[in-house]
Order: sequence, then C-alpha cells, then structure tokens
Amino acid sequence: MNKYWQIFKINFKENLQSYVNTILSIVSFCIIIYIFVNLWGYIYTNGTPVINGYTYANMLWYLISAEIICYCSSGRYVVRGINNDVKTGKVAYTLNKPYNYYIYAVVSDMGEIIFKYIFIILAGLLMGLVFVGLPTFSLVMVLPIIFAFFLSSLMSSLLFAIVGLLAFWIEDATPFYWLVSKFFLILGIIFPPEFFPSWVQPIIIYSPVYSIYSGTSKLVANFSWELYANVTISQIVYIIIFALLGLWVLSKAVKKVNINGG
Amino acid sequence: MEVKNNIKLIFKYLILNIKKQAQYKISFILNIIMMIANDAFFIIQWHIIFSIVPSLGGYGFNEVLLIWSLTAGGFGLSHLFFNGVYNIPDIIYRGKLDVYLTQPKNLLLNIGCSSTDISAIGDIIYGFIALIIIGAKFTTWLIYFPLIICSAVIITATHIIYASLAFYIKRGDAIASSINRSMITFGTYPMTIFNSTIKIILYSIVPAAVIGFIPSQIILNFSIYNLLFFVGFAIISTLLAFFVFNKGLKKYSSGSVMEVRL
Repeated sequence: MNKYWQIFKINFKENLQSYVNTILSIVSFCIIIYIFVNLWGYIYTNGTPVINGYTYANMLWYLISAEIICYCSSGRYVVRGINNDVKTGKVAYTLNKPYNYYIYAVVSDMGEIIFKYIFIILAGLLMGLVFVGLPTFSLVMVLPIIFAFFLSSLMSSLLFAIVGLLAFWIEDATPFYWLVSKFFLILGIIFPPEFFPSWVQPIIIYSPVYSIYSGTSKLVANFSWELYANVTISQIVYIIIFALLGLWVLSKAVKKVNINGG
Repeated sequence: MEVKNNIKLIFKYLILNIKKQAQYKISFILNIIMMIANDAFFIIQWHIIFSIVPSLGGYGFNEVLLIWSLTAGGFGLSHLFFNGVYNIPDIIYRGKLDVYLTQPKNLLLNIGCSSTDISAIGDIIYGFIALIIIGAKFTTWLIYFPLIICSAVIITATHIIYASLAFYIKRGDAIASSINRSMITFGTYPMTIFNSTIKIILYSIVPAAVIGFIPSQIILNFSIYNLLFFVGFAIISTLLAFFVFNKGLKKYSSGSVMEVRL
C-alpha cells in the first residue's frame, strides 16, 4: 500500500512544477462557467424563473459542481498515459515493476486530480459567489460533499483507466475516450437528469453518469441527507465493480503484449 | 508558380500522412467514426435548450447547427492539412526545429504539413451531416467550402501566433492550446448571448466569433461588410502568423537532439 501512496505523492508534487498549466486550467474553467452564466442567464431571463425544478442559482451551482468534477477528473490524462505507454513500448518496463499497472495508473491520476481540486474548487466557489451568491447548504454538509467529490473522481479514474486499457487491443483508445466523455458531458454535466424525457431519467439515475456527475452536483445545488446516502451507496457499489473489472481487463490485456526487443 | 508548387506540396504531404496512418486500419476508422459521434452528441444539448426557449437572440436550432457545421469544418480542415502547427511549441522546446530548417521548403508550411489528425476527417464529415440535417440550400453548399477554408486559415494562423510564444517562454504550448480550446468552445455558441465586453475579445484576441458566427451571418444575412471583414481577418492573421513566427525564429537556439525526417 505504501508504494501506491508514494506514487500518489510523486504525481501530486509533479504538478507543483507545472504552475502555468494550473493557472491556465483555472482560466479555462472560468471561461466555461462564464459561457454557462451567459447562456443560462439568457434562458432564465427569457423563460420562467423555475425550469424543471431548478432556479437560476440551483442551475448554476449544479453546473459549477459538475464542471469542477469534469475539470479535475476528466480521464484525459489516464487514457493518454496508458495510450503512450502502449504506443511507445514503455509498458514493457512498467508491467514488470512490483506494482499492479491498473492501480498504478489510477493512483497516478488521483495524485493529479487532488492537486487540481485545491484550485478549481476555489475558482468554482468564487465564480458561484460572484454570479449567484451562496449555495443553500450549511457548513455541516461541506465535508460530506467533499467526500462525495472524492468518490466521484475515484470512480471516474477507475472507469477511464479501463477505457485506456483498450489501447492494448486497438493501439489508440482515444476515440473511446471521446465517446465516453461526451456521453458524460451531455447526460450528466451540462444538464441535470430532470431536463431529459421521463423515460431517459431512470437510465441516467442508475448509470455511472449519476454517481460521478449528476448526483454529486445535485448535492451542491440542493442538498438532502437522503440524496447523499443514495449517491454515496451508488458510488461505493460502482467503485467496487470498476476496480474488479479493471483488474480483470488488465489480466486479459497483458496477454496481448508483444515485446520485440530494442 | 510558387503558390502552385506549395499547394501541390500540401496535398502530397496530406496523401503521405493519410497513407501512414491508414496502416493502423481499426484505429484509423474508429478515429473518424468516433469524432462524428463526438460532435453529434451536441445535437442533444441544443435540442434540449431549444425545447426550453424557442431561440437565442434570433438563433434557433438550425442556425446553431449551421455555426457548428462551419466551426467543425474549419477546425477539421486545419487539423487535416496543418496539424503540424499544433506541435510547434513541442518542436521548439525539444530543439527539433533543426531538421526542418535544413529542408528546402518554406519552414512554416513544412512544419504545418508534417502531420495530419485523422479524426479531423470526422469533423469535416460532421459539418456536411449538419448541413444535411438543417436542409441547407444549394447556395449554402456552394459557399460552404470557401468559408470553412477561411475559418481553417484563421484557426491555424491564430494558433501559430500563440504557439510562437514558445520561442520566448518555456510553456508556450499551454497558452496556445488554452486559446485554441477557448476558440472552439466559444465558437460554437451564437454571439447574441454574450455581452459587448466579451464580444470585443471574441472578435479580436480570441477570434472565436470569426470562425463560426461571422460565416453563419454571411450565409443567413449576407452583407458585404461581414464578407470583407471575414476575408480580411484571414489575410491579416496569416500575415501576422508568418511575421510573429519569423520574429521568434531569430530567438531559436539549436538543441543537440539527433533526428532524421524522411
């Protein structure tokens, strides 16, 4: 366990060196939120004050939360990392190290995710306070919400590492990354489940989209302990499923490796 | 004569790059199909938004899809023909420019054509699909190609300008890709939802409005001023890109990396 903790720390510290990237991530995050402020500001000004149960403030806090999770744990880095390892042949060196490659990829990704959270959450809070004021939850709920964010990211990382492992079969898993991430973007990030037709809503609620994005973001927009329990249980169940699936996929993937020397 | 030779060279490079990537057949096809699916996901986003409000400042579903078609087409052409410019900061940072400097063709053209992003074909195809969905008129089809060529020129030139920062600062890539991302994100929204301060930025230093919104205006409400502005912007940004790149080139100091380019 200690070796994975060390891998986590190394990746966390590595990010301290690339402060330009961090600043630009914050700028880019603020730009996206600003677009949503304009878009939903226009929609609420020209429509009704409550849309599908969401006021403008609820909607903006939902979007800010979903974008925080998306920005910090987009899965891009874990997929790209595994892709590069496979393409460059570096995987030959990493597979024979005394750690599990799948867990290594997830822990490395988490090191980067936790680092980003520190800055992006602050930027998100600031944007929310400037444009719509404080969210409705009390201080007691802050820690549970942060824990829900952590579980969301762990779940996302475990899932995208599985997507990355597809590179062992098709050389480049990026197209699958696009598809999964766009699926998440449309069904979980830019709209709460209530905005979809009634027959789509149950599909979203029982899917990973809800546990990673919709459920966690709804906690910030409109917190309730019942919702919190539902979201946490679904996150834990999915984390166990993805972890087991990832380890199984890796055991199959290593059999596809051809090492040609060099 | 030189222009003719350069155009020939651009197409020869393109054919060579496509042949190179077509060796990985599954990856090649997946990249194209998944990019079409990736772009198509946004149809759901706009469908939901327009089920809440009928239009965004005069822009309905068809008009927004037209902006998407133009932006995707321009972005696709840029990454198909000149994907190499997106590697400029890395080429400079790693001292790989030497190998291009020794070749007899125009340096910037040579770098730009050195690689092709196959998924860009998916973007271009999506552009056509979007035109079919909105039932574009014959005249729209007729002027579509010249418009996306100009868009591609603006996208490429803007990236070169910001990527040339890599001659002066270490992490020029982060700034250039951040501007590029912002251009694409803002570029797919109708400018009618933004306030005038942000519009000034989107018509100048981050020309997101110029790559999709302005050409859509040319199609929807033709005015000679918009056309002149659009073409003029493409010409000036290209000249500026060559100027900034050549100015930065004087700062370049060779690395010791050994590389062969066939």
